[in-house]
Amino acid sequence: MNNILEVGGLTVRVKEKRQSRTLVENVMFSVRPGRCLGILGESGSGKSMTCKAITGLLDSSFQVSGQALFNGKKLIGMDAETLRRIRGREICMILQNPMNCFDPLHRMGKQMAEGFEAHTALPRAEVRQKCVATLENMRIRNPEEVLMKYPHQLSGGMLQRVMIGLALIMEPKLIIADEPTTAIDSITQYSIVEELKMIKSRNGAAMIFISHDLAVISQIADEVIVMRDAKICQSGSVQDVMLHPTDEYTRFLIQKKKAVMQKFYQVVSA
Amino acid sequence: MRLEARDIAVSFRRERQQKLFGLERQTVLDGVSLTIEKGESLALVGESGSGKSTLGRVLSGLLKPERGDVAIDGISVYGRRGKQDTEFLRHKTGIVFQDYTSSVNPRFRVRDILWESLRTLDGMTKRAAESEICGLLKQVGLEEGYINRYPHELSGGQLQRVCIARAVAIKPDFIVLDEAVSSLDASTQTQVMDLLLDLRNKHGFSYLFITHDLTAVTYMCNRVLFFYQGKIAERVERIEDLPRIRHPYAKQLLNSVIGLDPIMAG
Repeated sequence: MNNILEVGGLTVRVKEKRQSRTLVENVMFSVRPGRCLGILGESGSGKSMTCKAITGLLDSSFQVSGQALFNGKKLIGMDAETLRRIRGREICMILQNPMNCFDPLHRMGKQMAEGFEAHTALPRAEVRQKCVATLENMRIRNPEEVLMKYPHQLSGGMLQRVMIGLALIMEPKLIIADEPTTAIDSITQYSIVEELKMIKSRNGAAMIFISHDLAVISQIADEVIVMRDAKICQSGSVQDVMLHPTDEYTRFLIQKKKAVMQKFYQVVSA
Repeated sequence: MRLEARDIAVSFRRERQQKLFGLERQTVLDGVSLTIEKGESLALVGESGSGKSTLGRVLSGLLKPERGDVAIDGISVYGRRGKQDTEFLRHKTGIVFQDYTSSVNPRFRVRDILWESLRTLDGMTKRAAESEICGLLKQVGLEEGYINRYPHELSGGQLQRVCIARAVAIKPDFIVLDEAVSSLDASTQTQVMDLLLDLRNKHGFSYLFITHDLTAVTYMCNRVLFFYQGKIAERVERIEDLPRIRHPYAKQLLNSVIGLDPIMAG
């Protein structure tokens, strides 16, 4: 199968006073439809920057070079308006903090409809119907009522689910999930990972999943790249990277997580 | 050291009152009793809003409960006590909060953050503190070079380690860790937990570990309390008994641990 996204030699620099600092250096990866690429790394390693650079969300103080081919189209250097259209319809993002991603002054229904208005020409009744269907899809009870609520009246987990639902409305070809499970309690975290797994198998969309948690990545990703200090230090299939880490940093990450999990399994299976 | 809490109750004034100057109250803690022995880590697990953090504040002496009392080695923390007892309690407890950015003064350098804690010790001079501060930083895995940095010049993990160093500086017998590792990266989490275990073995600290991450609990603690709506819903006296918990919330939590399949299967 063809790659939906091909990134090569991606480099991001930011100008700081007199010198320029490299945030992402020579990053290369590709994603196929129906597969999930995990990007693993600690905060500040450049994993979010990589995705922002691809989707053109960085302003002019950043210098982006390299290549990103999405469906054969060059994303880097594309004019802003075309890129915006692609971003809504074909590439969707799920962000880390659902609380900050919705406008606190508008009801959920209005905010959800906004996406439809920007990208389709459906009549209002049909938009409403689609919104309800989306919420039902994300297993939210009483969707009609949720549409009438303001963001602060919903829990973080609920909002995150609405956001995932919104990302899927346009049936995007590529979903970028930027740490969607951090800062959420473990029960909700689990249900969101399950939700994303289901979407992957059902919609056949390609996915990029960014996280610092090895366990979450191991559950959802097929291939993984490990990033440190703006560079890729190891890449390959999840099985391969986890069972045979060649890089020292990857080994360190796995060893740390393994120690915690081993103790847990020991206790639980006792 | 032995910390004992008896029948703690706390309530807050409700935000939404029926009457203009109403005094309706909401119960946050409802008759909680527990003991923590020397060198023991007790885990406190519960939903957000179940009153975990409030209990942590009561136990560390920051919030006077409406009913009940906390006693360290038999000396009451909130009751009437003499000068000698006050002196005894002075350096007994420490606390590390979840939000590290708001728990340090942004205008303080790392040196001042730690000095603020050290200066409460008897006979501590600023000059003597200097080497003490370097030692503390080393203990939490930071280099001496960080001493002149401001909080915004450190990463989250580094700043949280400074907060731990601050709590450890006065060598308290009992430290409350209120979601102290939840906001850190997975690998930093393990590093910080290793550090805490190490300090426990060295100095015999006791911990109250407030969290909702069960894998961290099994890594750190030997006893677990499940908290639900201001009450202790279930006690696990031995960590081996964890799989046999019965409370629905606790069970759900146990079932939602995200596994590390490829490695653990192999």
